[in-house]
This record gives sequence, structure tokens and C-alpha cells, in this order.
Amino acid sequence: MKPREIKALLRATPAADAPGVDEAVRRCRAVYARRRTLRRLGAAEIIVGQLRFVARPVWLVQGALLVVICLALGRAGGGRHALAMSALTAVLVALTILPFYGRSERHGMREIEAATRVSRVKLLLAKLAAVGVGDAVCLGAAALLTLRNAPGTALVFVVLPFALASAGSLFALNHLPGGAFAATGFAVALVSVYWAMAERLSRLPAAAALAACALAAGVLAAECIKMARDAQFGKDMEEILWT
Amino acid sequence: MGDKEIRKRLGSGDETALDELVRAYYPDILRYCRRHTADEHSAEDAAQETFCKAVRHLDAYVHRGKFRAWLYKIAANTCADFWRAPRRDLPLTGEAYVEPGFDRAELAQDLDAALAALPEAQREVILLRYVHGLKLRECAAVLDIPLRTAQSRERAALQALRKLL
Repeated sequence: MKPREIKALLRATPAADAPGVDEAVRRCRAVYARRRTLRRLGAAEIIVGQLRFVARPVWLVQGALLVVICLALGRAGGGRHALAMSALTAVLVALTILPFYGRSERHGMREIEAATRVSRVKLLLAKLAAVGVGDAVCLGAAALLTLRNAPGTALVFVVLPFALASAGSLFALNHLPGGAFAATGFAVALVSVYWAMAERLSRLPAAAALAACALAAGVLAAECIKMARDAQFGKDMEEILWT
Repeated sequence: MGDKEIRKRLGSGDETALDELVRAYYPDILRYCRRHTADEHSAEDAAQETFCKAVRHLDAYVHRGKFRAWLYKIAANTCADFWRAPRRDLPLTGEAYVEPGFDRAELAQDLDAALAALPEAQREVILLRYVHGLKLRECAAVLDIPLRTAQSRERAALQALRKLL
């Protein structure tokens, strides 16, 4: 017999009757009515939902920093030291992430976060989002005051040091052992460079500054995407909202 | 009714979608269970339990267009549970279950005997592929084997059937 004929013979097997289908429907309806409905939360929904819990301490710290910025830059006037001060405040703004990033590792928050069935990485992204909002406010104030003191320098002395410090810090935290120390060391080195070379840096072309900012932004984005992907592919526990 | 449509309607609490789902797949699943359990009563129980399990874990099913294969996989596991002991090859001769209305023509009886003579692994692929109408990829998913293995088992089974028939 040819394979085609065999296949036709197999396919020709008639469908059987189906006793018990009504009972199956009845049982399935009972199971369906009893089951708890699950709704999977998206990453954005979790992050926004967590802001009300994680944002307060972050914004308190950044609020204090904002006062410092206003006092320091408001009285700095113009000159090399004023520009270096702007860079210093921008780096300090970037470093506000450090105490909150290290906290969960230091205090063993993994167990609590696992018990609440919320991903550690998504909690961290929520903290980053809260920090980001505060950073925007602080940087805005620093930029305005810097522009008042020395017009045209905000890009090199506020945006660039912030971008470099943020990217360097997050990279160090994600990849290097003793990440917080490495991040702090990088920030200190960055401020030192700005302090020593403020006058030279004030002559840096805008295009070069923009390119450096773009590079730093790229590193920052890559680190955030990596963290988001780790969460998405279930390296931590999944979040489920029981409704 | 497509898989996506089922999930959408069930997600919005439409129980008629559940009825349609069960009634659409129940005859095939029952037929599968008849070949993989000891008797008619066990087959009905296994088929009903299959659907209950599917409904219970519906939220865990990620839509990838393989709903039918997923359902057969549940049926296979359920039938294995019903057997408990190491799987026994079910005879497909007249002494065992005979599908009601099945044409007892001589050729069909020869086919039954030939299927019974196949190794279980090959017979499973042939039954899922041609009697239950699953695609080869779906058969591989149900049997938890690589696609290439399913292909080679199908080829070997057809060759063996050709010699026997």
C-alpha cells in the first residue's frame, strides 16, 4: 500500500460520539467560576504604582540638595570656581541614586521583595524613576543659576557632568564589585577634573559636549534597558495582581 | 473559534466561550483518551479532567497559536496519571476498545492490527498526526520531543505500515 493510501485510511477514521460532554461543560463552568482572576502588571504600571512608596525619602534628600544648590550657586557669582561648583552640584545630583540602590542589597531586601512577589529590578526601576524626577528639578535649578552666572555654560558644566556621573555610577553599580565605592570614586575624579580644568572646559565646543552627552546617555539607556530586560525575562519573580 | 478569541471572551467573563471551547474539542480529546486509558469510563473521566485542568490553568497559557497542542499535552499527562503504573501498550485489536460506528471493513481491521504492531513511540506520532489531525510541530510539543525526532518517527511508522499492509 502506498503512503498516500495509508494516510487517507488513517484520516478516514470517523469521529466518535461524545458522551459526557454536558458533564464536562458543567464541571468546567464550576472550575471557571471558582478560579481567581489574574491580571499581569506591566513594568510601567508597577513602577508608577511603587512611586508613592519609594519617592518620599528620595525627594527629601534631593530637596535638601536643592537648597544647597541654590545657596551655593546663588552666591557664587561668575568665575572659574562658580563653574566648577555647578559641575559639583550636577555630580551630587547624579549620586543621589547611590544610597537607595545599595540599600536593598545591604539590608537583604531580596527576601521581603520576594515575599511581596514584586521584582527587585522593577522596584529599583521605580526608585530610579523617582530619582529621575527629582534630578530633573535639581538640574533645572542648577542650570538656571549657572546660566545666570555664566551664560552658555550650562551644557558643559551642568548637563555633561550629570550625564557622565549618572552613566558611570549606574555602570559601576551594575557591573563592578563594590559598585557604590567605584561610583563614588568616579564621581570624585570627575569633579577633580572639572575643578582643575574649569577654564579650559569652558572653551569646549558645544558639538563635542553634545557628543559626550549623547555617549553618556547611550550608556545610561543601555544599563536601564538591561535592567528592564532582566525583569521582563523573569529572572526575578513575576508580578501578579489578584483581582 | 480562534484561540485568541477564546481567551478574549473568557477574559471578559463570557462563559458561553467556555461551552463552545469544550464542545469543540471534547470529541477529539475523548477519542484520544479512549486510546490511552483502560476503559470507556476512565476515558470519559480523563477527558473531563483534561478540560478542568485546562480551564484551571488558562491564565498560565501564553498564546502562541498552539492551544490544541497544549490541550492534547494535558490529555496525555492526564491519561498517564490514570494509568499510574508504567505505561502499558494498549492493544488496538477488537478485544480492546472499538470506536462506535467504526467501519469494521477488513482493511480497517488490518490497519488496527498494523498500528498495534508499531512501537508505541511511532504509533503515538501517527495517531496524533493523522487520526487527530495535529501538525507535526504540535505532535512534537504534545510528546515533548524535538521536531526532527517526530519527523523520523513518522517516516519510520509509515514505512512499517507500508510493509504490514
